[in-house]
Amino acid sequence: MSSRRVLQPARRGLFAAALLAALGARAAARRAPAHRIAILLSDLRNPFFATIARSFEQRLRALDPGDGPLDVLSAGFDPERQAQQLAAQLRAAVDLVVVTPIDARSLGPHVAEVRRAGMRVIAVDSRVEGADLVITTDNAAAAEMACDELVAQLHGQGRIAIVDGPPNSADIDRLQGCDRVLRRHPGIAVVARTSNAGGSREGGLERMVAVMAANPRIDGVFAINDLTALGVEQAAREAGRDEMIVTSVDGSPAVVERLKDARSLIAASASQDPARMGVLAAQGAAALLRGEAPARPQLLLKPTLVTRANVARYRGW
Amino acid sequence: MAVASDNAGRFPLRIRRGSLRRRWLVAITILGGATALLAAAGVVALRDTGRQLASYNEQVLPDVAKSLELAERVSHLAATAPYVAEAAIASKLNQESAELKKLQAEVGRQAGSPSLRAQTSDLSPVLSALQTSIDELIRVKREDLFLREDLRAQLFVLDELRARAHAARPACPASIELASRTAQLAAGALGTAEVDQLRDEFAASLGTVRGPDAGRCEAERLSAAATAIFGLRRSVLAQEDRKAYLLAYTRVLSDSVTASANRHVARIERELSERQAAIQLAIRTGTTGIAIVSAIALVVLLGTAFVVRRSLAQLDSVTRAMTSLAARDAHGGAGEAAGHDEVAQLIAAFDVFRDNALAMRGMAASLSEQTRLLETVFDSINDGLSVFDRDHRLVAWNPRYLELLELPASAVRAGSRLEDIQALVRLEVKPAADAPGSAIGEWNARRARSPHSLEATLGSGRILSLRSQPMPDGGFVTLYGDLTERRAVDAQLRQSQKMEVLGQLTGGVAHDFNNLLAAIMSNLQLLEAEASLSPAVQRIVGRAAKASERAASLTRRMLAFARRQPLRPEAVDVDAAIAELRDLVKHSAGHAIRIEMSHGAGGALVSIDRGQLENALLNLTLNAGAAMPHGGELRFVTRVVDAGERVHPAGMAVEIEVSDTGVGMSDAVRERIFEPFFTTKRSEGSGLGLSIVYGFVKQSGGDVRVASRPGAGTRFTIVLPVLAQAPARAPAPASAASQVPPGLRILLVEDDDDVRPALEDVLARLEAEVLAARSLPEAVEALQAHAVDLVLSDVGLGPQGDGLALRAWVLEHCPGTPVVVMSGLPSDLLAQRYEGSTRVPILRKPFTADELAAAISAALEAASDA
Repeated sequence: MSSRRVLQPARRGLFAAALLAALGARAAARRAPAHRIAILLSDLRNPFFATIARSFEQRLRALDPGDGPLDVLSAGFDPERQAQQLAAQLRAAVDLVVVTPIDARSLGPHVAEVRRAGMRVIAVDSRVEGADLVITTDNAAAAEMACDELVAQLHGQGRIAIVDGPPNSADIDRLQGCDRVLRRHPGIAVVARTSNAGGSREGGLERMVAVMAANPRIDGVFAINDLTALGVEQAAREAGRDEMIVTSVDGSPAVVERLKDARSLIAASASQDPARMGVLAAQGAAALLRGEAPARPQLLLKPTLVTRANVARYRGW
Repeated sequence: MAVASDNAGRFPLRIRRGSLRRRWLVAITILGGATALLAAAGVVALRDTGRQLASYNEQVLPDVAKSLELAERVSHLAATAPYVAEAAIASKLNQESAELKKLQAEVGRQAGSPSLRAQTSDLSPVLSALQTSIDELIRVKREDLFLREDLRAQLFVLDELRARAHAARPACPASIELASRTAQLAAGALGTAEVDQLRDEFAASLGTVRGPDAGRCEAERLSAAATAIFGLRRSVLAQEDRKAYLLAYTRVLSDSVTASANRHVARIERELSERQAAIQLAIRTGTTGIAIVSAIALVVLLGTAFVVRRSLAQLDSVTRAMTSLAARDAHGGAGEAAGHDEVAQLIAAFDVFRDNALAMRGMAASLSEQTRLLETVFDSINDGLSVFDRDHRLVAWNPRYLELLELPASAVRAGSRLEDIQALVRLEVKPAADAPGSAIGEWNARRARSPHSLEATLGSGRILSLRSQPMPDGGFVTLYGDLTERRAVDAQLRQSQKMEVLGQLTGGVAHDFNNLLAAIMSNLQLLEAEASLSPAVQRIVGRAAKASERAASLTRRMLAFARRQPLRPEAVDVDAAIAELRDLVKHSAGHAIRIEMSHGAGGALVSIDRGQLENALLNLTLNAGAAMPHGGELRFVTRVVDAGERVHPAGMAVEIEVSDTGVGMSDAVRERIFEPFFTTKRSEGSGLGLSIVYGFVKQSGGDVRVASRPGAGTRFTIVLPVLAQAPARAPAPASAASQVPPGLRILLVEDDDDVRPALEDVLARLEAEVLAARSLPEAVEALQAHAVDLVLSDVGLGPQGDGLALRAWVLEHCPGTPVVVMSGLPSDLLAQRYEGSTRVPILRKPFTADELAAAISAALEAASDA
């Protein structure tokens, strides 16, 4: 079964190559040694993804300076759009796609399709089924750190809200990690769980406004990522409700700035390392393009917790 | 009945002009019509109003509500549209889009509802334009987001290229960096003109880079990225314009819908006010109609009320009169009859009715009084009464009827058959003198035709007299009298009369004979005492004396029957006396006879001569013994009974029953059993035994009866009055003449010249000095001349005063001098002839010398005690 599946895309790849050769011998001759690579990002407004892309491209060029131009695409956290973008790579005869999946469920079938066409797929930040290589932060551990810190600062008592993000594996793992912590602390009551805030500052702000309207007192908030946390903090400040503290996951430069501010409501953020993710993705891509299978198909990066106390020592992205 | 038909003739039940009924009918008809009209008007008005309300409810309100709701939703749609336009992230866009789609769907559904169809026919192009506009807005926004994301991607590339060019300085000229900056600026350009200007500047900057620099500095890629940025920015701006237009258009469309809804609502309001006006009109019309009809009804009602009130007042007076009539007040009238209506007729009729009622009540009262009188008479008469109808069925009877025929009350009821009743009663018919023929059936038939009377005996021995009288309508009335007692009384009366005659006869003979005997015996005693007599003469005198004593004894017994024997009554315990007699009785009766004694008198005392009682009982024993030659049982039973008038004094008595199981006797024998000299024992007996018993008991204030049937034994019953209290013991009888002190001076007063010398001798024997007197004056003279120790006087002293008067004179003039009064008369005669004799102890003649001595001794003792 598996052998036939591998063979089929390979044959299709050969067919495509032959077709290209027939259409324009010059172009084909010029591009033949260079690999075509696309990187599909969730959202370019989030510097996390831009960092991944930048790091990836730099590392890739360092490894293979002769490679062709890198196609950078962003879906604005729209799963449908991402699926369309991935499908479009098939027509562009891309050799390798790096994708930060927005919704593994809607993306999965397309991944399978491009893989069948001989394309290599590397998933960064979140998992997607059928990817050759997956590079993510240990999101569950990151969320545990953030929520542990939240509970610790609340002394195990209080009413908290959880502001959710897009339904990818990173998000799911983080919720599970946080819930593991909360189960150990019966003094903590989760008074609100929002719907998808889009992993964005605007979404965080909007959801928090609703949460605060429904709950006269909120002691703590776990935001799914730093941008959401910034939106939450903004909402709380604008409403004059600075009774709460906020923790999140990312360790982004903006949050580092906030942690340095004594008045900030953001208390901690479990860091990710997008630059390292990009590097690892580039190395994996090089290996894959060489026809090598990755040593480990799944790479989990350890998070660290950035707090007011240790922010000075934090290296950042 | 006759009265009722008379009234009907006088007051025919015919409705006349101005009659109550007519007036009431007219009034009620008008009232009914008015009410029906009122109800109909009300119903019509209500139904109309209801219909109006229903249409109001069913059409107008939902219509208005839906119309307004549609307008509200369209406004909401227009208001939500800018949120879509402003969405910065895909998830927000999706969310807002979904909200918009939902609102759109709702608007579409509402626009399609039937009530809004009229309104939406002109709205539908507007609504579909709205839908198209919103759909486009969403699409444009989505594209906008993507264009922006693409713009960011190109900017990212541009940034990378710029950074690399910057790094490659000075190999790459500054114009490369300038060009990339220009391209970056284009991403924030505000209009297409600015984009075009920046594009020209970019081209100018990049145009300076030629040859190998271009390749080294990736001028081609830079140009491609910049061109994409310019294009994308132009597209974004174009989309902005489009978005602005679409928003404005959406607002306009929304306003149009709102205006349409407002128009629709206004129209509905207009319709509403028209309908309200119609309803008001209907209500006003209805109210006016109802008011008019109500006024008419009220007027009629008042009229009717007046008529009814007057009639009721009259009826009330009739009612009062009738009530007082019912309460037996005969004076209440029904008042004046005004007019000619039914009430007036009723009053007139009532007066007639009242007169009749009073008359009938009087009749009924007197009838009931008579009935009550008759019932009382029937129930209280001593005779039984029965009335049978012609079919021999019992119609009426009184309690005495049942009592006499000894019928249980349960056996007889109204309708019982004569034959059935007679079957219960063992009636033995004795034909009366005027009714020969004895069969009861014959008698039954006969008495239904003509008056008849007869005598009948019941099985129990009761004797009845039946007097029957036929009734005019058939059947007969019979009166039943109880003859039992009368027959018994008759028999007893006959017996008493017989015994009385016998007593008087016997008493009279015995009395005279007694006096003669007294003289004979006195002389014989004197003769005996004569010493000069030869023994032979003395023997003769002795025989004569003995014969005279037997004669005296016989006389005494005859006197005893005649109740003239001297008795010495004392308080006797009957039970004890009989018990003491047991041995003697047993001996007298003989060995073959068993003696049974049952003492039930409980020590009751009777005042009686004990010796005579014993004599009587032994007499009865001897008789019983004779009646039981072959043995049997003789029973003595005592008890205390209420004997009523049978004893003297009347009241409680001791009953002594002596019964044997001997041969008994026939009625003929029984009726004569107490007669002196009547005997069934031919050889032995004097025939005086039972006569003495009879005389003794009667003399003692008691009674004796005998019941016997041949072969069924004989039962004698003696009743003696109970002594209320034991009297003081009678003085011990003087036993001997020696107790009389010698030398007493005794005045003897005796008119009988034969008796006086004999008594003088007897007294002389008592060593007394005797003064003799023949009459009261002589006695008084002697008493005035001499002091005496004792006066002995006969009661009868001839025409010049009696012994009792003498006694009274002595008590008065010679107090302390005892007087002994003697008499040969029986007590009853004595009491009859001499008033006060019963209060004085009388010495009965004839007496022996000893008896005289005892009497004298007792009198002296009593005097000395006093």
